[in-house]
Amino acid sequence: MTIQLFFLFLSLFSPRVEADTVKPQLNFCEPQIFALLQKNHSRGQWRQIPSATENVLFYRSPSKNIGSWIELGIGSKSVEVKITSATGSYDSYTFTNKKCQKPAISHAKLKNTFSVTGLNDSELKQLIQRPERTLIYIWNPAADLSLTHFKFYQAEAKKRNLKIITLLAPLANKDWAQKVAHKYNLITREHSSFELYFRGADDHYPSAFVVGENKISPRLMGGLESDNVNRFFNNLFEAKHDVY
Amino acid sequence: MMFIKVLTLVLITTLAKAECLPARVEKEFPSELASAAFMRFSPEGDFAIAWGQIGLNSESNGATYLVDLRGKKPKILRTVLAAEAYPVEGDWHLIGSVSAGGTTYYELDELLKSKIFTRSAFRSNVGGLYHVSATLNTDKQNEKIVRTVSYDKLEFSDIKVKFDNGKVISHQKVTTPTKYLCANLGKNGVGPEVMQVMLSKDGKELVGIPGTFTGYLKLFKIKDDYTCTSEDIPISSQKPMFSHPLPGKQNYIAFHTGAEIGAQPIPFGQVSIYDRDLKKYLRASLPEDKVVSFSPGTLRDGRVIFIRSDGKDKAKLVITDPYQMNPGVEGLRCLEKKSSANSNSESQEIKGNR
Repeated sequence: MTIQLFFLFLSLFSPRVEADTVKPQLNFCEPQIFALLQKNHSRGQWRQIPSATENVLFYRSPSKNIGSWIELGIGSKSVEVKITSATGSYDSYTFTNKKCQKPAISHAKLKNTFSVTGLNDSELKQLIQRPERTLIYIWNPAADLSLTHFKFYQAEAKKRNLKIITLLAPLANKDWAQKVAHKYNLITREHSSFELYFRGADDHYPSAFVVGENKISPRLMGGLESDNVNRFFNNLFEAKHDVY
Repeated sequence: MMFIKVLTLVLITTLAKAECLPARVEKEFPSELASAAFMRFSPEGDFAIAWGQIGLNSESNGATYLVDLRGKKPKILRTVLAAEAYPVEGDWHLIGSVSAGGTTYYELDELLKSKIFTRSAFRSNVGGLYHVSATLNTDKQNEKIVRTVSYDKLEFSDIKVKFDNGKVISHQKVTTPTKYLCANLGKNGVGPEVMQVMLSKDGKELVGIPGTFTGYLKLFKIKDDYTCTSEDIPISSQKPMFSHPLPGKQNYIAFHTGAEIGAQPIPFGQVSIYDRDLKKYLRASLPEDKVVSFSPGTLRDGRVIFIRSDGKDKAKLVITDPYQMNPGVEGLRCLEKKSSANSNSESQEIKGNR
């Protein structure tokens, strides 16, 4: 009954929970965890992520704050809620059956290899808030199609009056990138955005997002060609965008 | 006396367990190719194929390299293959190289002989950027069907290939009633829209990543009439890889994703499998592994293979048994030395002259 109430609360406060998200199962401290999620503006768009830690199930959701994502690590005896921030740190709240009211709290840096000069979440926020829309295109010289087929993204963006920002993948070979970027109208400034990373920017290259008008699109991925780029962009614009 | 003998036999039978494969093995791997976005591993883990740039003097964007892992030190061989050339899933006898309007197939043996003049074996006219191929068995020895599928609409071709002593001696396109797989699940007579595609080792299942992010993979079971059923697999990952057939189990899906927060520096990833019988994720890499290879490989013996970085400039090839990596999970205790690919695949493996 308590678990049912939890999910009822969750659905009430996250009216746009997508049909394709999952629902984490909590065995204790549901009201306290729910309150924490609500306080941190969880969108409730939970997706399970594979775990490198034994016997713990992990779920992750974006929040309504750019750069802030929420992760649940559900074990048999404890639940850890991690809330990241755009500044590159996270707060951790560990709940156990006996410590629902007073979870253990800690703070840590979000380890990363991002460049300090890369486009970070602060800049991403500015792009999202702009009235005009921008195509963010992430490339890697090790993914040849992200070079050779950028022209199709470029042409489609121009047709749709999108500004374009190209960003280099964080782990890309910089020397290689410098050598080939100019040939394909790409720039070698890196992406250093936690928001884009958590949205799957680094699952594959190229990856792309459309931002602006206080919205961010789902990730679009893959090399596109002249006979399908329009259709894939149509799909992207028809898909649900997260509003800030 | 008889009682003692029987008891001894029972005890021996009870206590004797098949030997497990090693839980984890590491080998050298050339660091110059470690972070290749495109990499594939052979079924025995003796070769890898990767798109990379070794030395920055050339004007080209890069080249496809074969990495020979058979000896103590890996050897890198440059090839004539195009970007994102890929092995035919199954036994790796053939490598496909995508070019305008189709795919040209080369025999691995020919590629190993020469990097400049390499005889091609045959060609498929399936176009598109992202391809995958796999071999299907027929009822004849030394004959297979090479199935090639392209992204987006799942355009495909089946080509019947005959071998003699491991060499391609003839090929013939199979006439099919449709040129699109799974058209019953798509629109306007073409297959469903997926961006990245991967076939199972037997060519009868296909997994695809939707172009617009959904958090799920689409898995299609291909029937004999080329229609399909589909299900959603709850993975958001880079290009997934089917395992080779496992005795008594469905094949699993291996993939590379980001790790849980705090496990390792963003954006290094981790490797996991999705066990379709247990409907569970099982880790195949350790929390401290900085995984750099975009797609893990799967070996014929069921293990997973991937590349990890030391965070600086060295790389290691890692082979793990995901079942031993997750001892608390019910089901398979370990991958056994005797539990290699099922008899169908093994008996019809095309022998080459490597």
